[in-house]
Amino acid sequence: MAINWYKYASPASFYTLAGKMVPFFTILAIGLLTIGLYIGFFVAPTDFQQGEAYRIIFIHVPAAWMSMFLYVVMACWAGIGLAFNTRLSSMMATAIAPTGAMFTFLALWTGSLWGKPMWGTWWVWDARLTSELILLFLYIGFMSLQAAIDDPRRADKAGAIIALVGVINIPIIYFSVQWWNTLHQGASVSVNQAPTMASVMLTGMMVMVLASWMYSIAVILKRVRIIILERESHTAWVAELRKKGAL
Amino acid sequence: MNWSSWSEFFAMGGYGIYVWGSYLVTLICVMSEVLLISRRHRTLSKTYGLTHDPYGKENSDKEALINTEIDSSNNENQSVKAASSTEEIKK
Amino acid sequence: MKPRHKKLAVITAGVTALGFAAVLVLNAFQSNLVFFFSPTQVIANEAPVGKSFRVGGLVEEGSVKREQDSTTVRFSITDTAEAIQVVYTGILPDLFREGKGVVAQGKLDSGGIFKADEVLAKHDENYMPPEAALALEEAAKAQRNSLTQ
Repeated sequence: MAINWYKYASPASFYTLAGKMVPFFTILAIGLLTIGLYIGFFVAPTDFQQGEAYRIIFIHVPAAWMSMFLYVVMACWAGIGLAFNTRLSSMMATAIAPTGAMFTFLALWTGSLWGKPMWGTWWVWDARLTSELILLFLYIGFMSLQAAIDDPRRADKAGAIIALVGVINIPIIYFSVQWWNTLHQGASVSVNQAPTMASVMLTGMMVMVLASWMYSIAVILKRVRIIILERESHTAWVAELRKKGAL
Repeated sequence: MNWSSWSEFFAMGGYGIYVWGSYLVTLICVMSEVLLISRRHRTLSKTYGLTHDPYGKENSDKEALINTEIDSSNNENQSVKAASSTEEIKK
Repeated sequence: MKPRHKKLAVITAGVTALGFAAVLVLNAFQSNLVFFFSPTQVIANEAPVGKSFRVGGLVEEGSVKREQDSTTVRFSITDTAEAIQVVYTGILPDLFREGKGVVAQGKLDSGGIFKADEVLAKHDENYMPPEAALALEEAAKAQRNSLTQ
């Protein structure tokens, strides 16, 4: 391929590239969200045991998946930053954390609102729910540690350590419903078996999952651009941008 | 179609509070994340445009700097002219 | 707030969050991450004696009996091998149904009856429209009939 990928490892060129990508992913996110919500509320039928309450699934599952996936991506970037001392990778990790934390909170919140009518309780200390709560604390710990350290390079390193240690929690969340007796049911969609959902419901859920991917990409790129500017404020290329009025 | 009326749609088979409580909070979270990011961008460009200038050119080119600030705070997609003119009319 | 105070506050928040996370992890490991015991385990005396614990399984078909002038319910929890009788007074969750999953918290009394003070429904991971569920049920019934004939 003729694209020089190394070029985009530098914050300056990535800043421009990300700027071009944000509107694209924003439009995709809005489009998919509209389709997903339409399917979720108007096409997908009532569930045979949970009635209309199951419609919470269209945000609960995407939020829960994103919360785990974003954590892994964040830990990867943080790890790369730690190992190769690349500035941009650490900035990516920092940019992902707030969005990941938001999705974790949403997974817990919607789960609680779903658990009350269906299970009969807002919250139980079973393995799935507890490990997801720990994920929220890991995100918060990562963000507050980074915020507490003034020197960005040191903040990156300290954050990377938390992020990498916390990765152990991801398989625990994912497999908790198989490893232990939990109140939370098993997975409806998994790699090694056919989904246990009617296809319209599944389609709606998957469109919502795609929408949250696009949303996350758009928001994270937007945030990483700000972080790049904040951290590179002393450099010539930022001064150049400022002169052009293209900040 | 699942619903014969709007009230039926909002009732969600008696689970309205739970379903709408989930969707509403999600909406609030997403909106505030987007809002916080754009505000952060705005403050950033403001401080850059007016106070932070390590290359010491602020006196020679003050007007350009003010324009920079207006552009970026008003429009994040860098459509320079439209943004600065509307801001000037307001002033 | 002064920057130094702000920094201190942030560090405190971070440490508190991590400490809280650690406590949760330890707590979870201590209770061995067993959310509930099956009736077989309870009959085999694996459940804690004299302490509150949870029993999980299916509500046995035909076992649910409601007392007339109160919200007291009697039913059995089964794992198809063993069954435990449960008494509960209170509101049952919407998904409490015969043949469906249930988790009850409470204590065993001297007569071997489980006195529950909380009953939770444990539903499965299947989602489908009612018509499809009905069709599946009919199909299963037809199959059972053809097997017995």
